[in-house]
Amino acid sequence: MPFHLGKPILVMMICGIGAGIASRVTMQPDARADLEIWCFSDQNYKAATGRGKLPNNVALREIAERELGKTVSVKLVQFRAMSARLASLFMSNSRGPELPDLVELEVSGVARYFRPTVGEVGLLPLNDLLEKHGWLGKIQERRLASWSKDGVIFGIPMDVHPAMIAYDDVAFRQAGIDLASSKTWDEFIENGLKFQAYWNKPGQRARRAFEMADANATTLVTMLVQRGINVVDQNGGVHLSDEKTIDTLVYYLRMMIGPRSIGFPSSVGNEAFSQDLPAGSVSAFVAPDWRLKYIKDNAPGEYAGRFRMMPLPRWPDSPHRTSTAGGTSVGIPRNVRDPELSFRLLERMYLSPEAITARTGTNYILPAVKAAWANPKWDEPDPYFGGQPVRRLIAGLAPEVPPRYISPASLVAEVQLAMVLVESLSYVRSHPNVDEATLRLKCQALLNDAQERVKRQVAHGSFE
Amino acid sequence: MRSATSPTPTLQERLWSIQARFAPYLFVAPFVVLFCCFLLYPLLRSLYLSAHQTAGQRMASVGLKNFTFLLHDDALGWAALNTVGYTLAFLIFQIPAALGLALLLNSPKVRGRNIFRFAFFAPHLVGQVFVAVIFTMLLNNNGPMNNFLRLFAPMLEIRWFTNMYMARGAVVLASLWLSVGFGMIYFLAALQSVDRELYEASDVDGAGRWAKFWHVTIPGIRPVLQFMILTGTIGGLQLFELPYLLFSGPGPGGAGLTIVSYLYGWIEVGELGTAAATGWLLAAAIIAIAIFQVRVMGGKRAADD
Repeated sequence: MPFHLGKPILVMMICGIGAGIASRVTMQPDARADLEIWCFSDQNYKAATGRGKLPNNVALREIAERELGKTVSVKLVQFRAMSARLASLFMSNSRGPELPDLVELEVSGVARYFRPTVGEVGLLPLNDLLEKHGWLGKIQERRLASWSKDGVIFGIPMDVHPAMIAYDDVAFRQAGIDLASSKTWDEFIENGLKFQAYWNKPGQRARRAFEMADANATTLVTMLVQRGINVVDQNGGVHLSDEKTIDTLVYYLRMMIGPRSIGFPSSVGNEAFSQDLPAGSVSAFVAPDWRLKYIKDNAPGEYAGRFRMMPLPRWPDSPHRTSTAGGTSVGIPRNVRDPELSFRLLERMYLSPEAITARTGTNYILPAVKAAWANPKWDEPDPYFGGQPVRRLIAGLAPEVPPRYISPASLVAEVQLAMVLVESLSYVRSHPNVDEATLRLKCQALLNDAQERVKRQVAHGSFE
Repeated sequence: MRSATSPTPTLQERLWSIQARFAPYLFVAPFVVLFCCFLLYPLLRSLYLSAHQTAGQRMASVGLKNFTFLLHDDALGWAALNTVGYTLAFLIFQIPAALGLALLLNSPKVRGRNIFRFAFFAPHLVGQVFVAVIFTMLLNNNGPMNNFLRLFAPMLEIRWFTNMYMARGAVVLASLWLSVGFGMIYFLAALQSVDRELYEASDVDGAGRWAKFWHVTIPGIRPVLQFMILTGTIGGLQLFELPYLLFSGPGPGGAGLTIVSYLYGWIEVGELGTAAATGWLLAAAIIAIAIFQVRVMGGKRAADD
């Protein structure tokens, strides 16, 4: 019997009905476990579920289930999707089983949750629970800054992310330079210039010493934080046009363009290691601990053993030899069913020695729990970094990591800072002989304008 | 059918009459319900939101404050300039390129033209995210494009993602790669519907290639040309994914900041009211431009007719 709409429609209908039946038959029952965790990090998901090849092959979820006597499910949710879902749940004042019992938060996405007043933030204040369970003082205190608003802690940091410099020691040694001997940024620049003078031959592409962003403010913010400057502080004060910010920007511009230029922007993503490093475009990188795994995984094989790590050179007016970039924490939604139980789950999944071992086994990320820094395994020499005990170096810098404050205003301010950076770089390129005083005035004017724009935007959306 | 001897309708007749009256409503009900739930309500809600500021669960009425702020905000001005620039670039490059390809691949002299047609259309099938990923790899400092260019100029350093001018070029390039094939398909269909007799008549009149193109082809494909200009303009004004994915933010010097990415910036900091107001300003601009284009092109057609 002919089908009156034609064979193609018939085939499509059969396929559609077949697919519907198949999906219904194969559908797993979606019974919610007693406790649910949303994580965005693949590494954390594997550690929680025991999937993947972790060193001790521990499934943290099973340990938590045994100890708490509850079923636990772990959901891997893409970071942006999680951010949108959480924001939506918080805005609709959702409660109970709709909410996860624990949720991982990424530093670049947390600002939106901090827009309401402290009493209305969708995350649970954790100060009391941390105190009750004896965790205050056991977690790197300055790291709490990124996850707090007005002194109220909304997330427990999983990492410290001290920033260091990773460099191709063989290339620097060949040029007769021990880069690690650079104690100040001035010395670092001198060594970078010597390196470039040794390697650069007429008629060849210029070899550059140091990776510095010229289109976003990532490296500049890292340097500012090292100098103790948050572009927006914990009280909402905007510091774009502070003297130190202007100084740092002028210094940065001189590192990028002109006779003292050693900086070059690398490619987006891991091509910085897989392409730019062998091409000689960059030979040293600012490397927070999370970046080391990317270097190891993406730099060509012949770089094994060539890299070394060193602390950031000092600023004359700041004691810090390190800074920080990036970060992840764990939070509990305010309207969760049982905050106490959620916190106990958090302890087992993120703060316990088993959890830390499982999570840090295959990377270099330093946990925020201070007791973990004493682990003797961290003293072992790392062959990839020429036998340096890299983890110990990272842990050694952890107490110095300056606080980094995050808020909706800081997001806006960093975008404005990036715009100022691009505009001032463009100015220096078009005025190669500009003197220090004029450049400073130009930077000051640009930063003043940016500060005003940030203040206007913050005032526009202010609920305080 | 009603009986002439019984003026009182039977139950069956009454049921038939009821269903005849309400059946059309039932048929359109699914559409109306979906339209109200997923279009009308969100539209009205966003209009309501645009007169408020939000923070978490709280909303405060601010009247027209969001609109007055936006109309004085430099960043939105910058985003609007960028967006208009991208839109013009797309129209200037995309339409002639798509039409040129269509003319070329419409010719029976081109061998394997179906393969070429598919090859040029294929980028449109993979979508903007995939195109952004490919161009990120392709245009990196030491990626294939720069390495190829260095064969001719070894000292060349083109920074596609960190120089604000080159960054704009990267967006236009990626967008063209994505959309030229799509336009080509439309133009191909239009070219094939142009009356062959008109070409034969113009041959008899001794018209050259250019005259035939200008006086026969262009009038013949005008409706599609207008459609492409209109959809290209609207698409350009709504540009978001490509620059957002290529630069992971506003890009060098704000080169990737478009009106929609400006709007998204407000969502990221949790201020939905200003985001909604930005959306309404954009919608108003699109409607105004579309009406202007339709009038101008309609007027031209009337004059030609």
